[in-house]
Amino acid sequence: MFINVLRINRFMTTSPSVVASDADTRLDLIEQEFEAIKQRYRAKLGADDVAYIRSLRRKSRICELLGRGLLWISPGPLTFALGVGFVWLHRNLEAIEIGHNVLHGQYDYFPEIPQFHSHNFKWKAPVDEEGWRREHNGQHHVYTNVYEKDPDLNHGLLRTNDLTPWQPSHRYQVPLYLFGVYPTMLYRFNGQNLGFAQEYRAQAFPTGNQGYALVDTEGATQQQLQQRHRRSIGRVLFKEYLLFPALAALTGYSALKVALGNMLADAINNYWIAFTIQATHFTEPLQPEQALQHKGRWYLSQLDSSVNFKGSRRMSILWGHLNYQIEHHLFPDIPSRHYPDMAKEVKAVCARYNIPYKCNPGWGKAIRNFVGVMWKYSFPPARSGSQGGAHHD
Amino acid sequence: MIDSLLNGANRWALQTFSRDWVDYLVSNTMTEFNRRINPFVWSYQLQALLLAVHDEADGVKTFVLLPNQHWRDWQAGQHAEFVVEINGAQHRRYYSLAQRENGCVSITVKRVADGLVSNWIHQHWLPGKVIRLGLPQGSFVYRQQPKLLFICAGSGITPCHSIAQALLQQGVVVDIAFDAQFRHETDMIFASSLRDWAREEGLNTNIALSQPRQSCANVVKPLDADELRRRYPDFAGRDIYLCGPQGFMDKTIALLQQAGFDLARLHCERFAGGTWEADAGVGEACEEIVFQHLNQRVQLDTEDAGKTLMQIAERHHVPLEIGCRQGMCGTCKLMLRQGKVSGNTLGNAVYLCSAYPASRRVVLDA
Ligand SMILES: Cc1cc2nc3c(=O)[nH]c(=O)nc-3n(C[C@H](O)[C@H](O)[C@H](O)COP(=O)(O)OP(=O)(O)OC[C@H]3O[C@@H](n4cnc5c(N)ncnc54)[C@H](O)[C@@H]3O)c2cc1C
Ligand code: FES
Repeated sequence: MFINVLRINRFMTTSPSVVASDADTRLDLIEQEFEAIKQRYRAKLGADDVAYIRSLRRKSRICELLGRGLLWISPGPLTFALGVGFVWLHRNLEAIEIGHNVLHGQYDYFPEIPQFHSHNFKWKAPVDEEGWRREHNGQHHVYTNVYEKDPDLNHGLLRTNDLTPWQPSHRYQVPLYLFGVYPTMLYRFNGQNLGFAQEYRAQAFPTGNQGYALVDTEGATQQQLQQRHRRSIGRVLFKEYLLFPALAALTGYSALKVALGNMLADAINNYWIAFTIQATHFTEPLQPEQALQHKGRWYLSQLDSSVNFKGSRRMSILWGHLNYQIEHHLFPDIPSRHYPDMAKEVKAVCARYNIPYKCNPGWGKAIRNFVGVMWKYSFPPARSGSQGGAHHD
Repeated sequence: MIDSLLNGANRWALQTFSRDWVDYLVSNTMTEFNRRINPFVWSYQLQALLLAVHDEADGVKTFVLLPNQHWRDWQAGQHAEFVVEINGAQHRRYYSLAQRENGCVSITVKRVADGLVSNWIHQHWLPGKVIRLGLPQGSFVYRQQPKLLFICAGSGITPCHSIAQALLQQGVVVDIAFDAQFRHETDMIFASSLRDWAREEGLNTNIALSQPRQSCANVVKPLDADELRRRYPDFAGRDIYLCGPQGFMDKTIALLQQAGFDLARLHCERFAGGTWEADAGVGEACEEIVFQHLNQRVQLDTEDAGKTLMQIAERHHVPLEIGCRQGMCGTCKLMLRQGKVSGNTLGNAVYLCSAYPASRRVVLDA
């Protein structure tokens, strides 16, 4: 644990015992700066945000119509490819720019759009919404990069830091994730959010869940969890691999082509989202749990645990604005379309207070960085016995 | 024409599949188109379709309702809030629920002289109407006691009848006695049902009239100390369920007290009391917080004073979605449906971790 603390103290340039009060006033000021940005944008929310989410849904529907139509009747490889592209666009918009942001409650404030309220919304992704809200909003966003507290830090079978005990299976984590997990990433979220992954680790790893955060499933029975899992996945599988192929077959077109097209769109979507979300946190330093004790400190911890990557406003929509990970983590329930503007203000505050604002020059670099981290931690710690808790047993 | 087709389809769907499945299907296909075409099921709101209306007695009607998929399991004796819009103004009243077959429930409404809502309902609720209501609530329910005595008057018979009927239908072995009082012969509600129970199930049921117009067989006089001992010699060994007009309830409670009845075994349901106009002013001490999406209500005590909505909810074991506890992450947001709150809010959304109740009753929903 104490390595942890050393790693995160880089903002506190002075030693804690001296001029502690100076550090405190600095934190207070930082808190005020970010709160002020938040309040300014909260005051701005209104009809434009409602129009934005509505128009996104409309665009997603048009993509769906075009994509499914093309796949259905597509005479050649070009129309097939176009069909896949449009279905992917539809599924991408629904999964992240719409779904992920709506489930953060970014549109809860507008009574005229109950379909975009976080507790009403149903994802067109194979993920149980309540499980997601509890794990993602309630744990990951609060304890970002906190060892054994952030379930997204080391998730599934992944190891991303030296504190986490090494298991022989970690040796294969790069190919396992790149070729096994990422193509079906969205289908695996429930595993984490509903507690199935932690049960598996408890069985499979000699050190159990050491190094991994546990999720709390709030009193739901195993049976209920399994049902929620089946239902959230079933709705997607049914639509993509049963309903639309069957409709094609019934009208004399190829069911196989439709299913194949949907599968390609699905896989691309999964890769796209996996590469987007993996690239923004676990390359960054671990954070102390106590950051939460002071809002200013918490803001700093969010800044330190997140990294942006550059991209145009249009591309940002396809990344669900997760390339503005820093802004998203500072203000998770402000509608994402404001992040590019907020970023300018956040950067200005960072410059004024000498806080590093981390941004990769592009998606490619961000991906290389995180795959590098996965590669690095697939090997056992170099100085054996000096770190983590691997030697406990 | 289209309406009756849709009503038929909705009825078929809700009565053929479990509400749970209908909800799964509907919530995942909540398109603007569906919401416009069939707003009864493609809706985020709990509402019920009125299937039938029966005359029960003079000025008393029973309404059979089929709630949509947002309905929850409930227990006999509970009631629901009904929202009625009259000349653009919303009014809320409570009516006790009774179990009907095929996923239906019924309420029995007695016209109150000059009563706004009860009279309106009698005139305007016709089969096919869609009705807005709240989730079932209330603690006037059976709690596994071996011997019961129901004492009720007027429309107060509805929850009592509902509990007894459910027990008989489920074949629960329990000793039931039933005392119902009405004013005139023509006011009697569920009288034939009580007589059937006496004949077929051997229950000790009595119907009393306070102002009989003619001498009438099969009725007795209103309950007093002597009658209580005569009709129910073992009353002290029973749990008593009491419901009726305020005057009747007060009198009966005084009677039971004098007869030495252990009031811990008395369960009351009050029909009047004025709690329904809940829009109290800001700053009033909060007495109740309702978490509609969880169907949970919290009665506040002195220790809740000055606490945030989240702290109060946690003290009372309400399983909320919780994150940072400081208004940063937005995990805890719920919608304000009734009443007032202070602190961290935005539009209708309330950040429970950093907002406080500010009216007597606060209703929150997902
Ligand atoms: C938990 C609960 C369960 C209820 N269950 C039933 C039920 O199953 N069947 C049923 O018919 N009613 C029931 N009621 C009463 C119902 O909610 C209304 O209060 C009643 O229908 C009168 O409403 P109104 O708008 O017509 O009268 P209002 O316009 O509100 O009142 C008109 C006048 O009548 C008086 N008054 C109001 N309510 C009553 C009453 N119940 N008895 C006598 N005088 C009254 C008022 O003080 C006022 O002077 C229940 C109430 C509660 C709180
Ligand atoms: S719990 Fe984070 S905003 Fe309320």
